[in-house]
Amino acid sequence: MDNNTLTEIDEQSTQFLTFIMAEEEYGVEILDVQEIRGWESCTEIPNMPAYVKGVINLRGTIVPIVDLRQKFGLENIEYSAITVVIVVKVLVEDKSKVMGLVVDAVSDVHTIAHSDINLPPQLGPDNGPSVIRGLVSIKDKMVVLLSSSLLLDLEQFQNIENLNVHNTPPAMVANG
Amino acid sequence: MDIDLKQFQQVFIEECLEGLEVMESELLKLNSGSVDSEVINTIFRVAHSIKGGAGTFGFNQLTEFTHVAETLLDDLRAEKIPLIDGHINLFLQTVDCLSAWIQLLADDSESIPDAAESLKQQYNQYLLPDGNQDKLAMEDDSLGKPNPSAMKEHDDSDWLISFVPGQDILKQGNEPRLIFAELAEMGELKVTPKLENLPVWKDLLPEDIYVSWDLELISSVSDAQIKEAFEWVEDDSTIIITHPSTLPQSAESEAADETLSESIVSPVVTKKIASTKSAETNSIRVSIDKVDALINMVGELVITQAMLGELGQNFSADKLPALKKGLTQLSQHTREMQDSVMKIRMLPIQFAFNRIPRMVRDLSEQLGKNVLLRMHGEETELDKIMLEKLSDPIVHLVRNALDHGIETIEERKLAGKSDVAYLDINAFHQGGEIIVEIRDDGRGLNRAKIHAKAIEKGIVNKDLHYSDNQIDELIFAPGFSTVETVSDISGRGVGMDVVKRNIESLGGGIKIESTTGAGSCFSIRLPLTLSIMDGQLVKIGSKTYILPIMSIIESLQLKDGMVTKLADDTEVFKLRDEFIPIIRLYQVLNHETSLKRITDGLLVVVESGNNKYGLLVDDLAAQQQVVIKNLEENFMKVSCVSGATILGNGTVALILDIADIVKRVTAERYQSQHQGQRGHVAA
Repeated sequence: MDNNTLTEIDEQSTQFLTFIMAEEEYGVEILDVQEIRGWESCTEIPNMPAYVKGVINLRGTIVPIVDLRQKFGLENIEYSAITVVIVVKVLVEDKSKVMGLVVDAVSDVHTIAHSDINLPPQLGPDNGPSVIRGLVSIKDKMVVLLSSSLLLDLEQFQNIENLNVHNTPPAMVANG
Repeated sequence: MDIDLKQFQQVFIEECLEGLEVMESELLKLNSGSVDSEVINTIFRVAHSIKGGAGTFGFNQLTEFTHVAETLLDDLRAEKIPLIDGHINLFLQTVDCLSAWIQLLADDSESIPDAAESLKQQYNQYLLPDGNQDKLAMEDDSLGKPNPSAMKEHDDSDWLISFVPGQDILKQGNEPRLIFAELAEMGELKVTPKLENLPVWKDLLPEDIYVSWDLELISSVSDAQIKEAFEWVEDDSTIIITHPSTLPQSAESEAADETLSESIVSPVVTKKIASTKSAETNSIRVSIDKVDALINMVGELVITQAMLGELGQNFSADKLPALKKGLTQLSQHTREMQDSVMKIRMLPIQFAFNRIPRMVRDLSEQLGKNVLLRMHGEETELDKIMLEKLSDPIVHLVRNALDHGIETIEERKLAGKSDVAYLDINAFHQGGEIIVEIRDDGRGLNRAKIHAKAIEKGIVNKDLHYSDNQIDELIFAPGFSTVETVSDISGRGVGMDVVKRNIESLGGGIKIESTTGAGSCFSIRLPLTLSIMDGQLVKIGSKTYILPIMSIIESLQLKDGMVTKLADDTEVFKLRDEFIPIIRLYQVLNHETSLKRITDGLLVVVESGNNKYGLLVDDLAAQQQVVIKNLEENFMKVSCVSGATILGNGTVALILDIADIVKRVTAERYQSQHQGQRGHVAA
């Protein structure tokens, strides 16, 4: 009996909350999720990349909202009644940070053994830490596991953005 | 028990430091010749409670040191010897020495400040000539570490002590066990409890003490030393100390200590209990009045809430007036409560002024200047954090005024001024801000010298003409100092720019007014608090932003022909005698605007770093107090924005950072100019 429960709640497994974006399933560690909210309009922050939707008032604290679709370069969709914001809370450099992620819909909760997680395939040059923690297949469907602490590290976030910007030809300069 | 004492040690240290501050300010009130007994008493009490505390925690050398000081104070109090200037200086040095000592204790260091020994000798000099020799010798060996020669005079003898504690001593935080432990250190101790007063079980109250003790101590100590162990409990308890060779002597017969301990015992002990978890620097002492006001307010709020709740339960249209009334009441209470909560963080500016009298006294003596310090408005209240950060700039400005501003007595005579220079420090409220003025009647700023120096240091361009005001401002430039010889008082030239930066980081500003030959006045302007400010809501396109009212001078609507475009595309307009650059906020923030022409919008004239700018907004909305929230906490530093707040409807509005906007606009102009030039070359 005891042995059974021990193997079921294996030390080496983690629970993930999965969500859907553009038909794909993604997962974040469930312990990082503070709450799930419906989409509400937020206050825009000037001169920010488009994926930073703005900030909302979450019971007195100011919480930034990031559109993961836009962040990952997926096609934009209109926000609807089922659009959800996953509020994640993670320690970044000893400080806990809270951020809202806009996703299409919440899907499921899975317990995933660490041994089942595959490292993401390395394509092209190493661009430093990736927000993708690993890949796992559940019932023949692939789920992309995200690292919430890297998602929250906005400086990091911007660096990734900057890398993309630098890779595209600088249109403005060409015009001048 | 050891751990407990460690916790209280922090409280002891805090109280010692507080006590020393009191001691210092009282000492400065003393004049040689006239002895104000009340003042001496206050100083004595501080010394006494430090001594007592030090004894409790086993800092024997500290006890010994303070005891010497206390002895002299006691003589002065009893007018056995007259007060002379030397005494005051000695006591002031003692304050310095003690605070250094306490600091060492706080750092868990066992070392003793170097000054202690020489000070003790000075005390002895003052004490000896007045025939106190016997007393001193007696006191000396009654201390924690008796010197070996004195020890031989006493043989180990048998002391019998009967200790009947007052019923309440446990409630006051006294612990008989500790007293016994202290006695046990003096020699061989035998404790016999007497249980005859023990009540029956059902009447026994755990906080009360029913036991009394017979103690037998074999030691060479004096009875004064034994009495000291009972110092904190002697008021409430009956202590009879018997030496085989002497008559029974009760503790009450020693009049001098008794009256004092009465006033000291209870506060020290009760506070220890109250603040077991005291965090060193983040604690705040709040007066009971403020807490009571808050509790009252919460009570009112609960009543209003209950009333509204009842109304809501079976609401009908005819109850509408009552509902409205209730809501008005609610908003009133909320505002009052907000005020009371904010007041908890507010402390009188006195705390920042505390160090000044002593400093002025020491410095003017050192510099051979005769300075009279006048302080006003010490009761003006200010946010605690600001107060801490304000202290250094004020000290620096005062040092500067004493060192550079005020002339020596000879110079003053030559200039036909009175010998006594006045240094005025005023604090007051003005339009929701706090102003601190430091004004001297010295020589004023030497503009020619400042200008020459600034040219020499390459801070300014020598071909340009500068107004008096601009030259005065130069002293805030980094790396600027006009004194030929760098003194240890001020004049390393690192100060003024730091002063200015510190004050600006608090959301304030500093201004100089100076008249050659008549003195200078530095005025520091500060917001009341860091967490709440008065905001002006403005519309930029469809978005709402907040401008700090503090930096707004006026707002106006432009008319046709008022705007001129300069060569670098900067738009300026003439406001009375000044040309003010216009910043179109919607451009800076990249928002759509509803404005078709510049004259459709409103121009908010703001001040930033002594310059004025006109910010173009679509419209002005309400003015309201806003609670400043940090954006960086969950996000990151956003350019042009200093923080965020939550509006009445629950949405977030961003607070604009005017200085940052100006910086950004200037940088962009520079860049576009630069690029423009490059473009020309290429063409």
